[in-house]
Amino acid sequence: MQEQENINDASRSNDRRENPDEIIGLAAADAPDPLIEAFKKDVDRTLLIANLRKSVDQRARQMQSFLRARDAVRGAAWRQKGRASLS
Amino acid sequence: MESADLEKALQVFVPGGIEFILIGGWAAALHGSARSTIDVDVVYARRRENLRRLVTAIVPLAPYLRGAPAGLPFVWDEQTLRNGLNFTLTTSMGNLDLLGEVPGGGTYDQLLPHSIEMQAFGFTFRCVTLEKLIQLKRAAGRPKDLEPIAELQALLEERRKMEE
Repeated sequence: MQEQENINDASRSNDRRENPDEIIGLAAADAPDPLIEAFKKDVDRTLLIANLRKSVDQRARQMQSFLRARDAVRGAAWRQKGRASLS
Repeated sequence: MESADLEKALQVFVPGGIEFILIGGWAAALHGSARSTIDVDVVYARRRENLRRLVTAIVPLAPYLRGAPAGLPFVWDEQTLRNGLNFTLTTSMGNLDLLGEVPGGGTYDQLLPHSIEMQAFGFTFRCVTLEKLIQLKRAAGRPKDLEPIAELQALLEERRKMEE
């Protein structure tokens, strides 16, 4: 009987701690997620460390330069494809 | 399709006095991400004066709704901005996403405490923090973001190790 009363008391105190209407906010940025952990092992951290050693401006110029080069290559490829389709 | 040019975007936004916070792929790159991006994504303040500045600044870039059929009577003006909230645009400087509100971040004013000042291309502007950027991507709930989120979390871990 005492044991059952103790279990009932514990259950009631748990109910008092948990508010079913409580709005749960977003988890912290580093909160673990097995889905994300599965992808994380393939991340090239040496590249990230190299970028962290650069200034924000250096990172911006590096990315801009890469994107412009990529667009130039794509443009050349599309033009080549266009010429090939005409011949 | 040309990638969105952040330098050109800043040349328009900053002198134009526009209140905005950079998010998305470019924000990730400025924090140190190695992943490329194709859009410039910003959360903008929906104050009346800021809407006017947005209209004035972006009209010269010939904005149009991305993915919409050509020839629609789309007009980039204050009424259009008031009628909508989030706009995915093509412009002469690339793809530009103007967001009045984002999942996990809210409006400009709600996101502002989670942003920092950055300098790039000679401009000073606000950018979402790395921690908040991760939360925004998680909140969006898109499977395609799992890989970028993993990279950003790794970036956060490496940055914290450097700061120790």
